[in-house]
Amino acid sequence: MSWAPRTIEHNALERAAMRVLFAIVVARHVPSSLAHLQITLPNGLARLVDLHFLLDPEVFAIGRYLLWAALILYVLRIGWSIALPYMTAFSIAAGSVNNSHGAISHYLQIVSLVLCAQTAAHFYSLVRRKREAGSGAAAQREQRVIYWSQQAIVATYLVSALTKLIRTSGMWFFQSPLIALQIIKTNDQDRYDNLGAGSYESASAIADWIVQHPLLTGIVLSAGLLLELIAPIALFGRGFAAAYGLSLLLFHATVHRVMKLHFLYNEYLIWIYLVNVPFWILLAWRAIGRRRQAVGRNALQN
Amino acid sequence: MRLRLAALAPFAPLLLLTAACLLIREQYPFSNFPMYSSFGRSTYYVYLTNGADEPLRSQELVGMTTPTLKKVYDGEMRREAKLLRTPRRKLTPEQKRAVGERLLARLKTTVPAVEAGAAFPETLRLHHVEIELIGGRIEKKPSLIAEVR
Repeated sequence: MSWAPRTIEHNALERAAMRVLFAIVVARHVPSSLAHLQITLPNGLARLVDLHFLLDPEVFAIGRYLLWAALILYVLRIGWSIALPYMTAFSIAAGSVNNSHGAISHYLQIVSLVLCAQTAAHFYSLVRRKREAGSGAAAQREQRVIYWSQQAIVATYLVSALTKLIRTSGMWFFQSPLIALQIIKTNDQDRYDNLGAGSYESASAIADWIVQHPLLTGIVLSAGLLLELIAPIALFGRGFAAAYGLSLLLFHATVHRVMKLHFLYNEYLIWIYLVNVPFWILLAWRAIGRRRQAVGRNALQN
Repeated sequence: MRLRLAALAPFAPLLLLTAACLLIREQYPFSNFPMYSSFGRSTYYVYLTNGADEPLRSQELVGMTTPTLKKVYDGEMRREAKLLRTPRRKLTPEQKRAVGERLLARLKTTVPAVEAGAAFPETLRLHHVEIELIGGRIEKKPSLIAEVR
């Protein structure tokens, strides 16, 4: 492992797996309809453009069909100059409507930001096309799309950490034990959302324990803050990306268990762009192949 | 200096997105992700019941989860406080009730509520639960905010 940031060279199979998996995430993050929503407090793109037309189920269905067409082009790596801007615009429009009914959620932004990064990377590569012409130019352009996607993911965690420090004037450590109240709140809210199902006694016990052990809680929770703060480390190579990605997944699993808060799209994108399972499977496959060959050679020699 | 800037160039997307999210804040797709970034000694949530005070699944009933319902109520309360030029914590129960009644009236016009038709509860109540840390103990104080028929 090198202590210098570097672009990871992904092979064709990894890149194809990433395209397919990301396309599935993009298809899933857009709801089947926005008809149940009202635009009462326009947010984001809805402040600039009247998005009421998206509340019409028939119009939105056409938008989704076009999204699927764009996703097919994206997976096949054809017509990205049309597909990527459309995917990004539709994602931002749907997300803006979702956040324009008086309540702002934070589970979709990461997908839209990664799409923004991919679109920017694609057009940046087009601008530099003459300078980067050559046999591996297409692969290099896709490398840039992946690297910028990783940076968008990293940015969301870095921003989250910086906001904690800014809003508490650096005193997050001392405030963090008050998370006990939030644990009670989020678990109660979950209970009202799933009347009758689920177990909530442990949350109450955890909250009580936190209140009784503020110093220890501060240390444990500050580890989470530190994890977010060092997010750029994921850009230092495959090993760093995978190790950091797995740490984030553990962090999310803990938050989900204790606070009943699930950031599903964050987790999907971490699996795809940081942990990158296909690479490790390929690596293991090749290592097993080499070992078998070595065993075969040894058997012949003996 | 030029060397240092060149070293940062590969991180341009990270730096730009981080700056954009912190400066633009809550304008989709940007966000400064303020959830759980600071904590007070009290918090609260709201939930819905029918006229017999039986809790209702707000997601099915009005298309909003309980956390979303709280965010919408919170926004309405903030607007009311701004309109009345008074701190939110100083809003009287009557003023809160007015906000609650407006919210409940709005919930009755949502698509899931309209589609439910006669199955929609005749009476809809909005309850508030204050959670406070008092003397090293967590205490919950429930109260009824508003009711519409």
